[in-house]
Amino acid sequence: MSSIIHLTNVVKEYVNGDVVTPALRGISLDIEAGEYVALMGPSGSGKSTLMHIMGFLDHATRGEYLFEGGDVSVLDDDALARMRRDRVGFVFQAFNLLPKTSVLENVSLPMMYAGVTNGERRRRAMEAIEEVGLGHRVNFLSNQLSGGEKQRVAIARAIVNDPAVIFADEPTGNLDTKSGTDVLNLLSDLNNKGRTIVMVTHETEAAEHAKRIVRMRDGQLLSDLVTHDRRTGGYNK
Amino acid sequence: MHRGDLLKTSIASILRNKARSVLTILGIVIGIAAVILMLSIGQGAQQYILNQVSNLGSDVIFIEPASGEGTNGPPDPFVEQTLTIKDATALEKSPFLEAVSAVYISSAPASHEETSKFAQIAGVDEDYLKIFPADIGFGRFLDASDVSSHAKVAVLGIKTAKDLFGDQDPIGGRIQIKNTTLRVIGVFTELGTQFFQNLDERIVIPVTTATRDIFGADNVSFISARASGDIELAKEETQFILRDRHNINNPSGDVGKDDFAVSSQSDAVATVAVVGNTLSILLASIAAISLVVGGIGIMNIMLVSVTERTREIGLRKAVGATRREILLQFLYEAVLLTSFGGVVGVALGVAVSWTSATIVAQFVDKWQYVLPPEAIFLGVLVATVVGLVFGVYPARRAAKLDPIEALRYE
Repeated sequence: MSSIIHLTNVVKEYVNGDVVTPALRGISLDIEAGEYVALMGPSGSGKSTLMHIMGFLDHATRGEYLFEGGDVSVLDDDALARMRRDRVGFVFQAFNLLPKTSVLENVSLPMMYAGVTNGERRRRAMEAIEEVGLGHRVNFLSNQLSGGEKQRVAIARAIVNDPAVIFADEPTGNLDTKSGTDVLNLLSDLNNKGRTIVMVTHETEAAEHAKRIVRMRDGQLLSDLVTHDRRTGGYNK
Repeated sequence: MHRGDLLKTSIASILRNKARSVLTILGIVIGIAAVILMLSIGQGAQQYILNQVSNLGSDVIFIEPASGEGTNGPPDPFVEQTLTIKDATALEKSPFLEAVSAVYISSAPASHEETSKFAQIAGVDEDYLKIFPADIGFGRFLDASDVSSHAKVAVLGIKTAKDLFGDQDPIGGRIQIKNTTLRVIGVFTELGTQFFQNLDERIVIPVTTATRDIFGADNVSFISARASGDIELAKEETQFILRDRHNINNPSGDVGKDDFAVSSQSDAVATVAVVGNTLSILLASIAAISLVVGGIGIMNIMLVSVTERTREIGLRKAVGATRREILLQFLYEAVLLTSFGGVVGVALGVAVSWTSATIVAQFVDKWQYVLPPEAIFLGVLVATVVGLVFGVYPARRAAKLDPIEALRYE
């Protein structure tokens, strides 16, 4: 399989006056198409920072980041915005849906920035909404949905531009167990259909859905464990 | 992102928070309405003043007492009275003037039997109507013998006639001014106002009777005349005659040395135009301040809105919005809000100014509703510019937000 994300010795430092705070201390990581990676670690371990860098929300201070073979460090703000728009999708803990806006419009949002025509937008949004099982909620407003439904709308929004990678940042953090499991099952389904997923979580139950678990601490990789695909009945933790 | 989508996004954001949108534009609505109202009142006043002055006709000349500055406008009560009936008589001989009338203006209570009213008394010559045309409704106007013989006769404005005589026929009736009894020989038709005087409340009597017999005055208030040919020649001739009569040695024509001033209606119109423009500018400036205040209100609420919508901005950036797209979205919001506010403000301003003009017209005869059409266009344009100017800062703030921090914002 070809490597989508290729990190070599990536360092992230926050400079505040004379004080330099290292967040990532040399991360080397490869993620290939079709993988489902859980990024685990306690708060302050750097897992979110790593996800932000991989998701084009932040720049690495040093080190090499190749995305689909291209050097990310040369991209300016606008180019990063285009990468976020076209190549990745985000799912956040707090859902971050537009308030008082319909499911259809929320899911259409990334395509609007991509300049997709109205009809095409509607068609693809409907497709994504069906895929997350919310066909009956298309015209509901975001504030009329349950937490689990909101997160499924967010997932539909993340996949609608057909990204290379979906980044999920604590996607079950604001959900009860039942809705959380639904969302995790949905992500597993998407992965089984071939989508690449990187999930940041500190919940072991959530991480168990992934096929590979990367643990971090103090800005460094602690372990990188490939668990077997459960469908093949292989080794499971 | 397409422009249309950007516009739709901005409109959707405005509609998502209707109450705040209304509050945001309130300042602009009131500001624009105030500008329209002020412009309308200013122009209305100017129009009114010009009408008052310009319907005299352009060949009317005023000679007023003056202390050397030279004046335009109504007689100044604090200047030494220097003009006499004899001055007027001398001017009558000039071929440059076709009609001359000395005018003595005062006011006093006038009574008929038990009814009394405070009225303006105008002592004039028989040629007065040739200078200030007015129709006689009943009876006749003063004639030359009335003036020369100090006749105790009066011509009444129609309102004064009604007030004093009620349903009775005033012609031949007696009125009393101070200790003099006068016989009513005529009544004017309805005349309205001229030079800010309500002519319908006036009592016109011979200038000789007014000065010597009733008010005991040696001088007249002013002399009015109508030029027979070129008005500038008539003015020069008048100055020449009066300097000679008043023993003023003034070969250089320095009006500062004269004890009188000669002006024409066109001088008065020019003065009024300057005054009117100044008035308009003053009123518009006051209104403009309210627009600045409105603009700051917009900026304030937009800043609050940017803070409140920090996570929305973060999300938009996460799904691929560039800085420019965020900036434009917020700028569009500000401009859409203010230009809509401008339209509403213009509508409100037109309604209020029309209403106020209608009310003023009840009290001030011949007051008209005036609204310069460019004011409507300007109102909306100014509102749009206000939105643009005061929307830039909040929009830049929104565009510059760091997506990671914006997404985490609680």
